[in-house]
Parts: sequence; structure tokens; C-alpha cells
Amino acid sequence: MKTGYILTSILTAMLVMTLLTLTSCSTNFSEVKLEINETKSIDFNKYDKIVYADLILESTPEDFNPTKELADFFVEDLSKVLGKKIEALNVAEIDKDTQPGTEDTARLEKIKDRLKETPNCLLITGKLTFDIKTRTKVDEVKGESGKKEKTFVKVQHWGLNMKVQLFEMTPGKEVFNRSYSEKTASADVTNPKYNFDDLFYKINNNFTKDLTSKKSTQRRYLLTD
Amino acid sequence: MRQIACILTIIVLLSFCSTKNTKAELDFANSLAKQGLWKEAYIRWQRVVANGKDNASLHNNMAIALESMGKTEEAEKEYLKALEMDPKNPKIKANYESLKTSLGKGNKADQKVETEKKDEKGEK
Repeated sequence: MKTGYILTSILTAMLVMTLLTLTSCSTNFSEVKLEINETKSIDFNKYDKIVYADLILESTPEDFNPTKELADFFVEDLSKVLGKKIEALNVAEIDKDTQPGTEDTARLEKIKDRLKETPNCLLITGKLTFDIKTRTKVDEVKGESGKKEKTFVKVQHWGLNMKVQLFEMTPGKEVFNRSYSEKTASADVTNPKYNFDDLFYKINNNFTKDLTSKKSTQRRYLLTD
Repeated sequence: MRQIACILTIIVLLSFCSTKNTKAELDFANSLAKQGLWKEAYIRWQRVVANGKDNASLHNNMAIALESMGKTEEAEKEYLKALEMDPKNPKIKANYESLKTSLGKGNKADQKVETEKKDEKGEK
């Protein structure tokens, strides 16, 4: 009797163990997405020289020209970020001859020609387009009597689109081409520089991030036993 | 004799309980991972390994967590451990290949594991 009882206990224990082992052996999987920071998208150290040619400006406001602000960012701020000097290339003469609406490639060819004496050079250029719409709306403002009065006020919607292109001059290969857009519906009608700075700050922030690091979403298999 | 039977039953029950605890810990770690909380999940997988459970899935999952934290070298080591334990697992192979691709190295998972095994044998 006793021996039978022990044998039954041992068999039960073995059965439980086998079941546990069997259930733990089957492997399932589920897909997960990973945001991975890859290395720098462009190795700037491999270039002997990096030059910035003014961006082509389109639909600029009458009372504001952002050429200086753009040059400050690309030549000074970006130099610090990349840890490599960026020189401004004087393209005033090229742009003087370039008719508005001319294909970008024609301008680019002229710039390439200017840089042919500089081997292993990286060119930064592109295009900045403004999209400003002025509208009139009815708003309540304080009148001379101090009372709120309904009147027509001007409001502006600002949109800024920056296309940045990077070219390796030696083979003439484009190594970076990306566009960035920002807009605001609460632009200050009296201060275009403020509106530009506000939008351009967001744009250059995104551009710098793209240039210095490459983020990608990848798929991996998570395993469960 | 009855005492032996009791001890055996207790051992089985205890092992069952510990398996249940480990499973709960693993389930929790996996749910954290699915929410993108890789660091938290990694800590739990590490704890499970420290408690004696060691298998290819755990090392594979720890490798993914390490990848998400940007520790690619450590992730590679974990993938290799996982592949040593389960060399034919297509999912681990796929994960390892993806890591190599994102690092700009095109090595095949099989080749790498084989080379490492040969190296180990050579050392011994």
C-alpha cells in the first residue's frame, strides 16, 4: 500500500514537471517597434571645406530680408554644432545674373563652377519660401472712450518652408535634401522679423537634429516562452 | 516513506510556485517592453536571469532593450548569447541581422556564430 502511494506521488510529481517543461518550451513572438538613434547621417570631417551659398529666397515680405539671419545660422551656429568651420560663399554676382524663377540647377552649376578649384568640398544651399496671407477679421478692441468696440483688424498667417540641399562637389553628388515647414496663425503684423525668428527657430532645430543624428524606426521580435 | 512523499510534493509545489512567479515577472517585463519602457523591462529580465532562468528568448529580449538604449555593443553580445543557445531561431537571427544592418555591418548571423564557436574551441 505504502509503496503504491509513494509511486503515485512520484508519478504525479513527474507529470506536473513534464507539463511545466512542455508549456515553458513553446516560444511565441510579438513584433515591437524600436526608435533607434543611428550615427551621424553625414561625416562632415571627411570634407576639407564646407561652404554655404545663400538660400534662394522666394516671396519674401517687402519690409524684411532674412539673408543675414540665415547666414548667421548656417555659418556661425551650424559651425558650432558640427564642430567644423563653414565659410560663406559670396554668390551675390551669381544671384544678380540669375533671373527669378530660373531653374535651381542653373544656379547650382554656376556655384559648382566657382568651387571647381576647391576639391573635396561640401556645399550647403537651398531655398526659403515665405507664405504670408493677410486677412481682415472683426475683433473687439478698446476705443477712445475706453469701451470695447467691434472693428476690423488685420491678421497674418505665416508659413515658412526651407529646403536644404548638401552637395559633395567632387563627384557633384547630392548627399542631403530635405524640406522643413512651419506655420503660425498668430503672426505679428507689425514685426516680420519676430515672425521669421519664431518659425525659423523651429525649422533650424529640426534641421540640426536631422543633420547630426539619424533616427529610424525598426522592427524587432520580442520572444515569450 | 510517507515523509519522502510529502517532501517530493512540497518540492513540486515550490517549483511550481517559483515558475509562476517567474512567469508573472516575464509577462510584466514583456508588457513594459511593448509600451516602450525598455529600461524597466531590462531590469526585470536581468532579475529573472539572476534567479537562475536562462534561455535564448531572455537574451534576445535583453538585446532589444540594450539596442533601444543605444548600447549596441552590449546588444550584439546578448544576441550572440541567444544565438548560441538557439542557433536556428529565425526571429533571433532576424533581430541580429537588423542590428548589423543598422550598424552598417553586413555579417550574416550564422557566420558570426560559427566563427565565435570556432574561436572558443580553438582557445580551449
